[in-house]
Amino acid sequence: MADRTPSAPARVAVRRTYKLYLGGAFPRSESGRSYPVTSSRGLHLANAAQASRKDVRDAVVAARKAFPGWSGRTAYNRGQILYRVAEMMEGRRAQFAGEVAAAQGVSEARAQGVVSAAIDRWVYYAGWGDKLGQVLGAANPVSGPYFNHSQPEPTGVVGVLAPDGSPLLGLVAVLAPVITAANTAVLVASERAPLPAVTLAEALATSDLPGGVVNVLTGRLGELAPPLAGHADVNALDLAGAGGLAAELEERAAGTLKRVVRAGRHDDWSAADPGVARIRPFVETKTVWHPMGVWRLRPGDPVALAGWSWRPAGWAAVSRNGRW
Amino acid sequence: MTGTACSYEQNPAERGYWFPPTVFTGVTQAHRIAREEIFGPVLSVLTFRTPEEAVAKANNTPYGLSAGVWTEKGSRMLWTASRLRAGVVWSNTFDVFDPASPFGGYKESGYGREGGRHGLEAYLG
Repeated sequence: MADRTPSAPARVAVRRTYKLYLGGAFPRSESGRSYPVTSSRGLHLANAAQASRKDVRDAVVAARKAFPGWSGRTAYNRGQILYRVAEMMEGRRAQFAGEVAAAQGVSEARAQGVVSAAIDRWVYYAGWGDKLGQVLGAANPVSGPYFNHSQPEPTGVVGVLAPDGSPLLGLVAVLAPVITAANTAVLVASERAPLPAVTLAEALATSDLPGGVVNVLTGRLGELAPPLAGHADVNALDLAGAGGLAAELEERAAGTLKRVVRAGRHDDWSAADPGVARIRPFVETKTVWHPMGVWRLRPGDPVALAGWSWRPAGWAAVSRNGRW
Repeated sequence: MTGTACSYEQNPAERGYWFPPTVFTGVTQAHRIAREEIFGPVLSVLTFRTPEEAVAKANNTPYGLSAGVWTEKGSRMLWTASRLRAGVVWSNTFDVFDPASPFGGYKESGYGREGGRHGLEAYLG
């Protein structure tokens, strides 16, 4: 029997549903809502999921759950995984370019350039992971018989509001530094142009990035940002895309002493070497003191034995009775 | 405070506005005296059976200014110190400070560091 060429009826199109990315899965919003996304010229592009406050809370739970595993890996291994993400982005280059061209109203060639810059930026931050400790850490020369060193550690769960004007490069420029520092993230995509974020989520899901390390929400900024900024289990907030909500969000963030990065007046996402400027706000410095000596700690020893005999004259003035 | 024993020498009301050194034993994580800092000469004592349990209990708080570890095993100290979510970890010592050593907390214990290179950074442009 000869093969029949399927020429007559047109094939039923496989249409893509733009969903959220939560805990490694792609659910619709629990609210069941979606909203229309248009190109820079006002043409309808797609219906994106319109996340709710409950989706925000679910995303924070997923990010918190993923934090011990992600921060517990070696920095080198995180770097390898992030490089793998760049490989996956490279494979979706055409899709990214199409979405960037539609969202920003630029030519195909210009969109390709933006995609290249975004992938390069991702690789740049992938490389930072195992160098942070050396650049931001220190061995501290204290006046006493102690080994004392400071190391950067992840702040925890970081809420990221992606910038509105640069839906792919800006997105990468705010997200990659957060997770290369071993944080986990809840990302609110650009409300106007969320499609590159959804495609990035699909690249993340097909890399070796554990589920929950990045959670992507699409929807109304005014609905999603306030509960994220006020959430007690979020440790830090990047307000790059906050727009007019920034003051209100900072006020909410202050309630639980979140670390906050304000949007710059002229954030330039195209700088080739941004350094650690966007990493440093999302690390905490841990300082460990360890006595140096040849004694052996025994039950009954005064525990501060190592610390008290050497203090130089004038110490009290410096330390105010031993406390700052 | 079911199951919690409180021991101190005498009734504080008898001798001015001073509170005698006090040790609470049998404290659980649910107790307010374990969840919030008491700014007084008071110690809330919890117990643990494994190092993992000790770390989980120590980190189960919205604060993280300092922590202390006592052990005679260096590898255990480093293991524990790397898991404690606190700005300063004192090992086999406590409450030691130096202008060259950064001091400051994680989470809701505050912003930034004082001391050391990290403390100086806030003064640079």
